[in-house]
Amino acid sequence: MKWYNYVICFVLIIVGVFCGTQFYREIKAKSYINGSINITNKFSQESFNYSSTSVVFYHDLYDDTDTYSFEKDLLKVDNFNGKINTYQVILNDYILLDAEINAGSLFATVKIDFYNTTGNLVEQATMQISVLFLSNKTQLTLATTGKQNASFLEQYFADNGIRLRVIQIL
Amino acid sequence: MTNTLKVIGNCCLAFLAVIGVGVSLVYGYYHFFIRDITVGTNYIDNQIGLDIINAADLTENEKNEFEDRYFLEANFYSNSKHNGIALQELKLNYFTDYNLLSTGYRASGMQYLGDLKQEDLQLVPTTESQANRDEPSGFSYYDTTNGINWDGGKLRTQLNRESTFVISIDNQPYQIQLDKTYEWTTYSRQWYTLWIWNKPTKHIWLYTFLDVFADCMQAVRSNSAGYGDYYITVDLSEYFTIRAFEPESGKYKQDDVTDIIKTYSVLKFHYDENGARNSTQSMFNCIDCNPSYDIEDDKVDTTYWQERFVYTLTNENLDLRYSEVYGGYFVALSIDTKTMFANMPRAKVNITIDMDYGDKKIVGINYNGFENFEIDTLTINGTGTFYLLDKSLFNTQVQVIQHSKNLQLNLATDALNNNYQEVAV
Repeated sequence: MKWYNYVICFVLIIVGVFCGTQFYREIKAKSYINGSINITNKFSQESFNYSSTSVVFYHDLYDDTDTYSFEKDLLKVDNFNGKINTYQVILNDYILLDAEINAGSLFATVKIDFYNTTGNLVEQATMQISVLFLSNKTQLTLATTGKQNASFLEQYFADNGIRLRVIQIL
Repeated sequence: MTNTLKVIGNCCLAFLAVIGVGVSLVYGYYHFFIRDITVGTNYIDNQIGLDIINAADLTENEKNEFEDRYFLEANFYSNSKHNGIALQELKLNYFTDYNLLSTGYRASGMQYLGDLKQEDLQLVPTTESQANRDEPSGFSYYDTTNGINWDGGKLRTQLNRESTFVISIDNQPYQIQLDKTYEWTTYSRQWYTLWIWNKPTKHIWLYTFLDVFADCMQAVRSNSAGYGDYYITVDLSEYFTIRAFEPESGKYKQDDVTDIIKTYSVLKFHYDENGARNSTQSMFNCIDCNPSYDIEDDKVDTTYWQERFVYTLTNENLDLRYSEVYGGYFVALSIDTKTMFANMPRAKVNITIDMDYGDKKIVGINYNGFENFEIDTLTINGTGTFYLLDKSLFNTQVQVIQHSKNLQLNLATDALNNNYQEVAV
């Protein structure tokens, strides 16, 4: 055989090996599924639970009541019924007494005193909490009066975060 | 002998070459005429470390911290109310190695001040190496390992086409890389062919994180739920390549056999009608690489040492016990309420007691009535004698007992165990 015949043979063998390998891989190839996604439980929650690392109060320029508010639309809560069940409202591990709980809403007031490094009271902030349990979402509103109050509350939530829970007492 | 061996060798070679041709033909026929379509689907769900215990075993606080860690997270302040600045952020949660443990958590993110839309993206001619290496300009970039402290600068993970990230799919390690392209061809007629032949020009668009960012923001903008905190599933097939980790070889292997590979990922987002006001609203606790960013000029000085949650208890919150000996009712708190306050050390409890409570006459505080939790101010309104029975204010550290002028306190010996200030008003 001539030298180029050897070259041709080697090339054909290499091509054959390559094609054979590919042929084997393609024949063995199957459709597959890796993992799964389940976010069905992310469209509603069994009980109200909101947590965040900060709260920022906004003031409407056209509002002359000096109200600063934080509003948030959250996932709907499936089984809230203030008419039948008893609930406890907890803000950052503090149980809020005297919360007004209605059929599909709750209102509570929080008072926080702030002391400076010499132990003197520097600010007394009052914050209204409102949670409306609607059919398609839950509306959370935190409101306070005055920029000073809002600023201290923002600082408190920036330092401690916010964890607001509504727990059914069984 | 030598010739015989040579002939045998040549025959074998020719035989193998014939087999090679045969295999090639069979393969070609199969590949082009018989082959069926295979589809691979990758679902990128929660990126929780394998060492994190089951959600059922977590406390509520732990759930908040550990449960939600999706590959893509977006934060979008649209500033529709014109009360801040428009802010868009995208964060990628991934692992640093194939062990998929929480110790290997890492996240990188990019931030845009403004409202970037897909139509704002412009084709910029660039070299392939530049497109692979460079990060989109006009963004701030951040990096973290613990999700709390973020940093920018050159030492962070670069969000470019060369970066690979380890993610978890079905608790197995995979590598994901933004390396796909979009290719198209344009045709222009040539005068020298008398405008008969159209000369094709091939264009390649190398996707960057700018495209992913703009698409994610568009997905958030167009979500059906509107403003709020929600989850959607986005299709990343056009951008990212997924490679499975093979433990035997220790390599990430790309799937080059499957015809169509689809990659879906959960995108967790916060979409806000407001504008961003300060850096606490950023996923990176920074806006424009400034952790103190605030649009307010005249900020209130909010430095303080300690906060106290104020509770004001009145007759409605108290339990009553009638005493025939004293001819009236003694008040007390239930054991549950006392325990509750004892477990809230920063609670500042003020108690106001009205001696005239409807048709009931309150005459004092019961044995152990308010013991073992801290009271700031006790106020008693009424006339006559008010009795504080044994240990009624024991271990309360009551600071001030305030009462009406015409009221006399009658304290049992062990009613309380601290000094207090008595104020008659």
